[in-house]
Amino acid sequence: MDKNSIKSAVTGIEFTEESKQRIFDGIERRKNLKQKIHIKRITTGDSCNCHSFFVCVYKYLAKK
Amino acid sequence: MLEQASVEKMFQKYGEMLYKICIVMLENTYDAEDTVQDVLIKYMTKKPLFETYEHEKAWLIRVTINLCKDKLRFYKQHPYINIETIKTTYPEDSIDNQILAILLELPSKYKEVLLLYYVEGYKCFEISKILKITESTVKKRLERGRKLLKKKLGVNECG
Repeated sequence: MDKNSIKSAVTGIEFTEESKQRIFDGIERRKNLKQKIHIKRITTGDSCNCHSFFVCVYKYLAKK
Repeated sequence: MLEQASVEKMFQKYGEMLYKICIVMLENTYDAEDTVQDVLIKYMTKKPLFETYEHEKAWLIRVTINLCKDKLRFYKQHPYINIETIKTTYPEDSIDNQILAILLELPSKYKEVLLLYYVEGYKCFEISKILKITESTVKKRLERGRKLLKKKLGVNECG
């Protein structure tokens, strides 16, 4: 067995355009997903703050 | 996150090499694509600083092999039957195809060493640094891997 035979066997593996495209599409999808989660976290945080603010105001008014 | 252009540049440079490592380690196209994707995402999020071109290449190879090992560990716990045939540029009845089929059957510890030595052209001490194992272990694994390959190919010691 020739030493280069391992190299030529591995070099012959095809890296198709579809594979490249799938890799890049996957990265884009994951990037968008991360952004969406980030935005969701911010909006959820904001709505929580608003909710607690109104609860405080309501409690204050109820006390009066 | 790193800029898209730098990631694309890195992918053009090393994408094919990483993909082929993943194919040999995982024996599955989709898993190989997923792993290359994971490596690129790791590269984008970690933003590692490299001293040299060789340093960058070694980092990418190490991350790829580690992620492949993670996937293999998962499949050990969740077995499945692989029915996929890997696309190659040579005909199915060629000797290259036989060698590839036997290479894919080898244990991963032999595959990684054989890949780095014969395909990427690393020296034993460089492989030991990349895989974080001793040089003598690398030599032993190379020897055993070669022996296994020859045995499965039906080649005798002198051939």
